[in-house]
Amino acid sequence: MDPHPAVAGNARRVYRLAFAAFLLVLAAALAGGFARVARRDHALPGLAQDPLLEASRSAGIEKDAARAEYAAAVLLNEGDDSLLLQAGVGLRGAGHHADAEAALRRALAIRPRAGPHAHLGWTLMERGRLDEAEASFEAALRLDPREAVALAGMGEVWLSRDRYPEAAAAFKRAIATGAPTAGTLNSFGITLALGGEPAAPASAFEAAARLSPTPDILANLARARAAAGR
Amino acid sequence: MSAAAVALPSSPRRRIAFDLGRPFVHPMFDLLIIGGGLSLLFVVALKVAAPLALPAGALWTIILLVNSAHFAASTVRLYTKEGSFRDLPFVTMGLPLAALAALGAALLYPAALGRHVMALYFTWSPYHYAAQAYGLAVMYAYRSGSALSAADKRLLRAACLLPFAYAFVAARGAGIEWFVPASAMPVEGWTRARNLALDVLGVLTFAAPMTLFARSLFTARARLPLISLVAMIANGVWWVTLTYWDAFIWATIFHGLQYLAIALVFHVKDRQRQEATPRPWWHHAAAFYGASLALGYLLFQVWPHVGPLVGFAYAQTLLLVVALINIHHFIVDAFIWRLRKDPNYQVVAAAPA
Repeated sequence: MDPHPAVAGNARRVYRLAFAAFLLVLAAALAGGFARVARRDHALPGLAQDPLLEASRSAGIEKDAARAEYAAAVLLNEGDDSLLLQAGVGLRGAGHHADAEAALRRALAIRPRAGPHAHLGWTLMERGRLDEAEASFEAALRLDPREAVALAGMGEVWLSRDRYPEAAAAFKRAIATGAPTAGTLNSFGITLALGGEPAAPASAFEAAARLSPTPDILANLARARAAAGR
Repeated sequence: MSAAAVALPSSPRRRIAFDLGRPFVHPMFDLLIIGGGLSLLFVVALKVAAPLALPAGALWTIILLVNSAHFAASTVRLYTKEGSFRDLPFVTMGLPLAALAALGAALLYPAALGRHVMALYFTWSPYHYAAQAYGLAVMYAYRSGSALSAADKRLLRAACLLPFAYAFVAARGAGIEWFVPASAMPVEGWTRARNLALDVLGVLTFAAPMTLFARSLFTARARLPLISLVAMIANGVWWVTLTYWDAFIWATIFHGLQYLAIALVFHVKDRQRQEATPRPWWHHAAAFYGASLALGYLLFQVWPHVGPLVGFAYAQTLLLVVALINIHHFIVDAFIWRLRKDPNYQVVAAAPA
C-alpha cells in the first residue's frame, strides 16, 4: 500500500534536508582536506592511499604522533600482516619497541614470513634480548636465506659476542644481497677492524659514508684511513 | 553489480553448440575486460614469471584510475540515472548522511565500532565480487539467448558464491575470524579444519563453474556462453590463487575494470536512447569516466586529510573513509543494477554497439 501523500511529502522533505546536510558536511570536509595539505605541503593531496602516510612523515620528527598513527592503523586492521610489518618497522624506528614487538608478533601469527622475523630480531636486540633476537634471525633465514635484514642482524649478534669471523661472514652475505644499508657497511668495517684487519675496513666505511655520512661513520673512516696509513 | 541484475524474463535461445557470448562492445573487449580474461592472463604471468614489483607511484596511479574511479562510478551512475531521485529517495538522499553518521561514530569509537566497520567491509567485499560475477554470468547468458530456469540460476549463484565462501574462511581479522576469533579456537584442530575447508572450497570454486558450463553445452535451453564461465573463473582465481591481501589489491583492480566497462556501456546506451540526435559514444563515456575519476580523487585522496584537523589520526580516517565508501558502493549497487521493470533491461537485450 502506498503511503498517504502527506506522509510521502514529509518523508521527501526530510530526505532533501538530509541530502543538503550531507552535501554541506562533505563540501566542508573536502575544503578542509585541500586546505590542510596545501598549507603544509604547498601542493594538492597526492595519490597515495597509504594509511601509514602520516606516520612515516612524522616518524623522525614527532615520535608520539607517529606512534598514535601506527597504533590507529593497527587497531583497525589487525588482519593485514603487511600493514602490521610496516607499522612494526615504523614503531621501532620511532623508538616504541614494545609496540613494535607486539605488531610484528601479530604479523607473524597471521603469516610466518622472513621480513617480520628479521625486524622482530632487531627489535628484540635493541631491547637487549640477544638470544631471542638470534632465534628470530635464524627463523627468518630458514624462510629466506638471502633476507638481508636478518643477515645483518646475525652479523650484529656475532659482533656483540666478539665472534668476528662469523660476524664478517654474515655481513658479507648481507652486503652481497645487493642493497646494504650504511649501518651494515659500518658494522662490517668495525668487525674487520676489531678482527685484526686494521687496513681492510676503510673501503667499508667509505661505502657507508657515501650512503649516510653521519659523524660516527666519518670518524670510523678517519680512524681506518689513519690505521691504513701507518 | 548486484545479483538483482539478473532477474530477466526468458528470451529465445540460439541453436549453437558453443557460444562465446553476445558482446556489448566487441568479443575480445567483452571477454578480456568485462569477463575478466585479462586478469587470468595477468595472474598466470604473475605466477609463472616473477612477483610484480610495481613502483609505489605506479600502483597508486592505477588504483586511482581504476579502483577509486570504479567506486565513484556507482555514485555517478546513481545520480545521473533518469528518475533516481524519484524512485530511490532513501538511497539518493538519505543513505549518504547515514554513511556520514556511521563514519563519525566509527571514528569516535574505533575499538568498539570502527574495527567492526572494517571487518564488515573486508567480509562484504568478496561477496560483492561474487555477486558481480553472478550478475555478469547471467546477464551474458540472457543476452546470448539462454533461458535460465530458477533452478539454473540457483546453481549458478551457488557456484559464483564459492570464492566468497573461500575468502570468508581464509580472511584474517574478517570473515570467519570476525565471528570466531582464531585465538578462541584450539590451534591445531582449528587450523586443520580450516585448511581442509579451504582445500575443498578451492577445488569447488573452479570445478563447479566448469561443470555447470559443460552441463549447459548439452542443455540447449540454458546454454552458458564462454564469457559467463570466464567471469566466474576469474573471480575464483583472484580469491583462491592470490593471498587474501594481494587479492584485495588485484581483485579490486580487475573488478573495478569490469565494473567501469559495464557501467560505461549502460550509461552511454541510456544517454543515447534519451537523445533525439545521439551524441557520439565517446562524449558520454568521457563525461562519465571524468566525473567518476574526479569524484574518486576527492573522496579517496582529499577527504581523509580532514581527519587530523578535527582530532582523528589520518590512518584511522583513511581506513574508515575507504571502508564506508566501499559499503556505500555495495548498497548503491544493489539498487542501481536492477533490471526488472528498469531501462537497464533494454541495454542488456539490445544488439552490440
